[in-house]
Amino acid sequence: MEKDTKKRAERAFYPEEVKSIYIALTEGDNTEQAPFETYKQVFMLAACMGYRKNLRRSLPAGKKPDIRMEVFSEKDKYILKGIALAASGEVELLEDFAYMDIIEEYAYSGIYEVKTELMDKPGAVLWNLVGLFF
Amino acid sequence: MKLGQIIIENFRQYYGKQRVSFASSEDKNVTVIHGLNGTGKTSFFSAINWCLYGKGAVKGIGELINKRYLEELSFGDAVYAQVELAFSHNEDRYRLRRWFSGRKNSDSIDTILYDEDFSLMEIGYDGQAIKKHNPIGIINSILPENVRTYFLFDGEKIDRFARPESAKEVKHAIYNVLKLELLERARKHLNVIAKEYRVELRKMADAELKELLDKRDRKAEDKEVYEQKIIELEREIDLAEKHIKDIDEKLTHSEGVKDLQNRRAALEQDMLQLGEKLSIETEKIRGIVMDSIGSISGEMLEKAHAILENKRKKGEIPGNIRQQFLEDLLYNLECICGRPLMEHGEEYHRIKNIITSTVSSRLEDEVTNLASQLKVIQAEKQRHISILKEGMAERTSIREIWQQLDAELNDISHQLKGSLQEDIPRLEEKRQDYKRDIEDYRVDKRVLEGKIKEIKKETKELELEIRSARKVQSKAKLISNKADLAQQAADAIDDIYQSFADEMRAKIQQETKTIFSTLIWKDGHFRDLKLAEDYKLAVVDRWGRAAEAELSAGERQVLSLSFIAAMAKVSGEEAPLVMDTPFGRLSSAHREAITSYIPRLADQMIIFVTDEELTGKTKENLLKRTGKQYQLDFDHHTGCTTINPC
Repeated sequence: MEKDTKKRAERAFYPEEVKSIYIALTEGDNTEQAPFETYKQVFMLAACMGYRKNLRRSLPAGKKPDIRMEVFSEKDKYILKGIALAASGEVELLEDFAYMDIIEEYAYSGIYEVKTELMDKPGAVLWNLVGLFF
Repeated sequence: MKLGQIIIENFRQYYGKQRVSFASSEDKNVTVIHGLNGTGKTSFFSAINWCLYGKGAVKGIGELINKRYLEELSFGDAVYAQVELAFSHNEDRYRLRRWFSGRKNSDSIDTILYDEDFSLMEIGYDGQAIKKHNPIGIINSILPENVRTYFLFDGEKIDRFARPESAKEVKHAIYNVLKLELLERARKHLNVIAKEYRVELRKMADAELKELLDKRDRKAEDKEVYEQKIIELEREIDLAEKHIKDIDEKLTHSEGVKDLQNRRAALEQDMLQLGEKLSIETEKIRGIVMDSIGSISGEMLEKAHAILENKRKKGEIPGNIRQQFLEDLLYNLECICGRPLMEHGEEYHRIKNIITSTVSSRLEDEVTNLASQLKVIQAEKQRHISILKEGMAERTSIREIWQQLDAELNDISHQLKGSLQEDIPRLEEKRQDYKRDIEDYRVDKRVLEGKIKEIKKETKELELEIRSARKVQSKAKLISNKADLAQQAADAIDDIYQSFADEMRAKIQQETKTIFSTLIWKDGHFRDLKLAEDYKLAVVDRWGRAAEAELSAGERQVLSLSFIAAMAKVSGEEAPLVMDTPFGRLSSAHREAITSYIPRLADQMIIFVTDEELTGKTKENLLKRTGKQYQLDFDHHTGCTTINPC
């Protein structure tokens, strides 16, 4: 079986244009307004939201901010792999971070959904986020 | 610093010259000064403070020169009183002497004129005294005046760190004792240097760069203005809180409304605790939410699981038959049952198809792990959602109680405003005004903090622009490098400062916790102790509730003492603990714990006690470590005290 030998970078990329959303959700000392401690947590939520709403789009070309994959826990990675598998049905994506291409697309669209659901609605971000669980 | 001896001469009730040697050996490092009330314990304690730091350290204790001595002098006689301390520090020996000298020019004590002066001598190995020319600087480098009260402290006031409102004092203590203010000074100094270089650089810069440099300086100025405003707001908040406290005090003593005021104080205390409970609950919910973000992804778990199941059924995963084995069959052209395989025959192609549709062994591991982990995550999801539901229900119930209490508070305020007693409605109106002011100031403060953050961000971006706009002129480049270096050093110190402060806070928290749990007799009752980011010392009881409000006066003293001892340990300062009547409010269990533990913690301990404070096991503990003991004998006829060894 022919395999693409080009390995992708061990980083999770997101476009510069959405960086301000990442910052707004992590900065500050108010747990209710900025409950996220790391960009990784925001990225995880963005990817999950993208999948949940079935929205994904390719990242624009050019230099992009990124998060190193070591920052993601094993559990995080299994969730991301689960999303990629559920979306594509291809187990081959599970190797060598190949699944991250799909994930980044979901996270790109998903971050706007995160903004709509958590930041643009009345109420504190944390409680809007809790609302998504029920 | 280790104290060797003190000579007190005509100071307070100590007439003539009296000498006391302090114990300082490793196993006997305690000196006990016994004295009944009024015999001169506090005067002795003041003598040490005065000798080290002068009048500022003994404010409000009255006349410092012995009255009998003054009385005996004739008109025109010289007046002389002094305290001398012999101490060692890092193997150097010193003698610090502070004295009053003057002349009696009237019979009235009030009109006697004298000067205060002092000198510090270092005692060389040959026993010769060498006068030090910078005594204040040397004393401050050994035991700085701003940390004095943490090592030399009045037992009556020792509970101050454990009071709920004393976060600021705790912060100052940590900053002073751990010399964090040195870093702060370095940061400020480097900022000034960087600014000076930037001014110079601007003179030789071109228009565009000049514009950028101007812009950055304006930002820096704005930042300074905002920081100053924050300091002013904090001052205003403190002041308004003090006013509220004063009004509360008046209401508590006003017949007719004191019950209402007491009820309000209790309600406010309850609301404070509920607020803390609410933050704990919120933090718990946040933790669970962050741990369950995967659950947001809708039906992902079920779908991924179904895909894996389907592939398993089709035999694509896991590759039960390993690829190498299948490839061997094709290579040998022989089936597992022994029949020959025809190259390119039907069986041959079937095996080849299995090889291409089966995953590699590494991928197979990935798939197997994913399948099992998805199951774990699925099980966890249900559990997390039920914990979240419980947490939210708890939060709602806390908020409901809080709202009820708030309504009751409003009602009390309403009743006070409607009181027929003169002055009460006005006081209550004022109280409400102060409360509103505090809220306004806090909002203003938060806005300013946001602006400062924004400026920091913009300045960082400007720095990048400035860097690229700078011309490569040799002199300009040199100055620019210097400016960068100074700024980077200032920024680096800023970072170090923050992380060092955090690290020290964590260390002191751990030490305080260890010491507190050793000293407190209700060992199992207090479960945790925290020194929060806002420097509030918080004690958590066995039910996970904030318990500092219910600490007894004695327990507060023990908590303060634990904090002081922890700071002394973390700071690594060699300093004596000098304690004036520290056991007054303590129960015997606390006294016993403290006397068995603290002497081991401090390098040297000097303790002033009344006989009632030192009995039974407390006495036994302390005497085990005591190297010297003195008795203060007060003579009622002369009003003077003699210090006698015992």
